[in-house]
Amino acid sequence: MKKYLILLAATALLVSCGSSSKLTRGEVYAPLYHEAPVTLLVMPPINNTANVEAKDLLYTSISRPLVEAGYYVLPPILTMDILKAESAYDAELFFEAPVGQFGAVFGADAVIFSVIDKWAKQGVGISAKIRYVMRSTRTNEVLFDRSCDLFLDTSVQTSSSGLLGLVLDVALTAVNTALTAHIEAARQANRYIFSDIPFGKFSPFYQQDQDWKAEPANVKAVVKD
Amino acid sequence: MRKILILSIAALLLCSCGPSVGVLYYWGGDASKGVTRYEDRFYEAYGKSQSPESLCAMLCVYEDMLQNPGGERGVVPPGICAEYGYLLLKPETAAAFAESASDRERRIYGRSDYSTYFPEYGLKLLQKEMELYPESRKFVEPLLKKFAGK
Repeated sequence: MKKYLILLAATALLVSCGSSSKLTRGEVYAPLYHEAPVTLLVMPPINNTANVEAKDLLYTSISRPLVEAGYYVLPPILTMDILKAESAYDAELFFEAPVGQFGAVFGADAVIFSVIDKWAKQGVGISAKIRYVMRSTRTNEVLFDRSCDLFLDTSVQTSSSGLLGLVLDVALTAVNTALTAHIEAARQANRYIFSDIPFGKFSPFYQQDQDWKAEPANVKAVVKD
Repeated sequence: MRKILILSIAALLLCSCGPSVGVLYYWGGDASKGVTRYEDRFYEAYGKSQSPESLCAMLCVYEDMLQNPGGERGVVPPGICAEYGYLLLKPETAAAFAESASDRERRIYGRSDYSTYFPEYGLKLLQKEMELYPESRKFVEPLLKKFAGK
C-alpha cells in the first residue's frame, strides 16, 4: 500500500514538473478563442538580420504548420503577388498600423507578422530569434504573440555505431549544413513556434483545447527533429 | 483501493500527455518522417533558386496532392487548389512547362496542349477551391473575373 502511495505521489510530482507553464491555452489566448479566426493572411517576414535568405526561408515554411493546426491560410504565392500589385507587401508599414484592409480585400480574419532578429549558422545548427504576432482584422487586437530564442539542431545522426558511425555523422552533418540545414531549420522553427497555437476550425480539437497547458510566450530552447 | 490507485496514476499520466494530434492533410512525401515535397519544392520555386524547372516540379507536387488527398480530413489542404489554379492561369506557366518539364513530369498530365489545357484546368481549380472552402470566395472571385471575365 505504502509502495503505491509513493508511486502516486511520484507520478503527480512528475506530471506537475513536466508542465512548463501553469496557465492554460484558454487563459493565455483568451482573445483568440473569443475571435475564433478562420482565415489567416501571412505577411512577408520583417528581417532584421544580415541573412537575406532568412525571409524566404521563413515565409515558405510557415503555411503548413498553420494549416495543420486547422486554419485556412491564404495561399502564399498568390497572396504575395496580390500584395505586390497593391504595393502592400512591406510588413513593417503594417506591423503596428490598422490591418482592417486585409479583411476587406482578402477576407482574412487575422494577419500574421513575423520578425527575425537573429538567423546565424552556429556549429551544427542555426541560432535564431523570431517573434510571431497575430492581429485581428476586425479589432486590430493582438491574438497571439510569441518570441522564441532557438538553437535549431540540424545535425545528422546515423544508426551506425563506433568510429565509422561517428565519421559518417560528421560527414553527413557537414553536407546537410551546406545544402539544406537552413531550410530544415526554418521548418523546425515554424513547427515549434506554432505548436502552441490554439486549434482552428478544421481541427478535431477546435475550441476543445482551452484546458491544455500553454507554453511560455517567451522561450529559449534547443529544437531537434 | 489498489485499483483506485492504479487508475489514479493512469489518469495523471494521461492528463500530462494530452490527446495525440494527427496529420490533417497529405503534402506529398512521407509526413511521418517530417518531410513534405510541398515545402521542398515551394522554397525552390519561390526563393532565389526559382527556375522554370522548379516551377514544373512545384506544379507536379500540387497535382500529386490533388490526386491523393489524405490525412485525417482526406481532402486537399486549404489554398492548394487556388494557388495551383492561379499558377496554371499565368500565361508563362504553360510555356515554361512545355519548354522545361521532364518526361516524367509530362506523363503526369498525359497531354501536350499545355497552352490550352492549363488555363481551362486553372479555372476549374479556382472553382474547386470555393467549393471546398467557401471562406476563399472573397479573394478567388476577383481572380475568376480577371482570368475568365466572369
